[in-house]
Amino acid sequence: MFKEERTQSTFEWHMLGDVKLGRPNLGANMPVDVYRLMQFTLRDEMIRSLGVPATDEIFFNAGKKAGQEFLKNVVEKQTNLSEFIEQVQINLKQLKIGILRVEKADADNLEFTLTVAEDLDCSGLPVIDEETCIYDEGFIAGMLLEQTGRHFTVKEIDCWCSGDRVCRFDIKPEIKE
Amino acid sequence: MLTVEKKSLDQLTEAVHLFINGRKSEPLEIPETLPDNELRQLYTYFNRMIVEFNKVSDFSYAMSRGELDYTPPAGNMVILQSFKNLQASLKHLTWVTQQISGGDFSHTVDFMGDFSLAFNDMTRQLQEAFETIRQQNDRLTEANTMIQKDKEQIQNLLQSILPTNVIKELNTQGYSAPRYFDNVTVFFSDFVGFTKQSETIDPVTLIDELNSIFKEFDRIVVETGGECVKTIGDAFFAVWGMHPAMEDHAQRAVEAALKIRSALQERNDQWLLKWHVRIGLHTGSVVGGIVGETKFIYDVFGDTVNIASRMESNSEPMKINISEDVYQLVKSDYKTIDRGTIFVKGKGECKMYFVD
Repeated sequence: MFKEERTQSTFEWHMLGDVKLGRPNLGANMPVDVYRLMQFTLRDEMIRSLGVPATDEIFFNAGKKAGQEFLKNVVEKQTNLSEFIEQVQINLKQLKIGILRVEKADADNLEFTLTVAEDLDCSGLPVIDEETCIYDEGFIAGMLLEQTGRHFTVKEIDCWCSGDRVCRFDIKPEIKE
Repeated sequence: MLTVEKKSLDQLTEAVHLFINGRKSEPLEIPETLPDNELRQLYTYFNRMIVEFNKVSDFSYAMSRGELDYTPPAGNMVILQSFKNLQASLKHLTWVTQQISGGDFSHTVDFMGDFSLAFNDMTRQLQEAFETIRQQNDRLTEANTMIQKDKEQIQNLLQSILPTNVIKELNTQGYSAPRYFDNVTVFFSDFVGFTKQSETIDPVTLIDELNSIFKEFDRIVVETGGECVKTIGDAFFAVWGMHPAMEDHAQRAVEAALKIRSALQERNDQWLLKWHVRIGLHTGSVVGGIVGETKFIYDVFGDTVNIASRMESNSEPMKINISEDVYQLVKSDYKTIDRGTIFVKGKGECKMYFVD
């Protein structure tokens, strides 16, 4: 499952395992620090081995896969975009991933500006003039792909790390060149 | 030891004075002779603060005017970030409100303190009010459907009693005035020996028989463009040329009479009970109108009706007896047998013909 070579993604939701069964005493939750410890050391080692662009691409693609699976297994596909956003908001809050808000939503052209406050990945990091939430970009693109069947370009334009208090994402349908 | 000229201190003091008195300050002019020291650094930072603060002022002022789409400046100042957060919250609220106004009451706001509670409570109450109105609308729609159904039933019932034009008059004016019809053909039929035969038949069977026969008569009358006025016991009374007026009313009436006779003959050939009719037709003018109030019918009056009735009584079993006026209108279309003149009570001698 984790040791096989592959050219296509083989991830499936059940690979997350039965956490309740496996952690009867410690439970399903853990501190954000631990999550970040794993992500940032992984990122650090990947940048060292592969460079920043390749690492970003891997994080985006992993986030996209996660977003697709999250929508399929947690949020579930909704009948319209308004309900989709509402359900994503509820689930992100319940799972303490972040507080999703809508700044702009053009349902006709499928263009959005979303913000995520108290983001799991970056809130509280030092201000370093960088937009760092590449995984979130992929995550949002993956959820939208699963909901609409269309590919989206998701670009983080504000981030805690660039000095903002929320992460802000510009979202529009991907234009194939 | 750093030497600071009084002019520099005055410049900085004036800029701070403007700030705290709510006015904008332009970036300070850095003296060319100022060496690259801590004072020049202070000037540089102070000017950067002035520029950023001016941008934040413009942004916050735009926000206070309700310009939510104002593009916020870049920068890391806490005051700027606070206003950007406020802008984000207001934009989000706008979107949520738009969803709610579009009928999606499932949206809520959170992490905005008492405002979230108040807003969500308002949404809940709106949803309840909306649901109440929806239920009331459903009940109204249901009631309207029932009323519409009842109305259709009444309309159908009326149509079986009154001519369509008269119903229209009643619907639009609330009444229907009697009307004179200049040129119509009246049909009368009567069963031969009905009274005698009815004495030997069970009343229920008798009604069934009449009903079955009159339904067929009725169908033929409607098919030929006429209208049934009424039945009187075993007599059947119909008119052509009233609603609507028609030039060939006599031909249509004769055609109907032939069909009625033929239908009855066919029935007799297959049926245990045999019925024979006398048919009479006359053409002339009549007056039609509603008679009665609580129990009304649309009736037709005039001498033409009386003569048509006389034509029927002077007819013979399974014969169609027509008056001279009918004959003149149909003689080229149908084969007839001249019966000569026959005395009619109240009219004297009248020419009559059988339609063959």
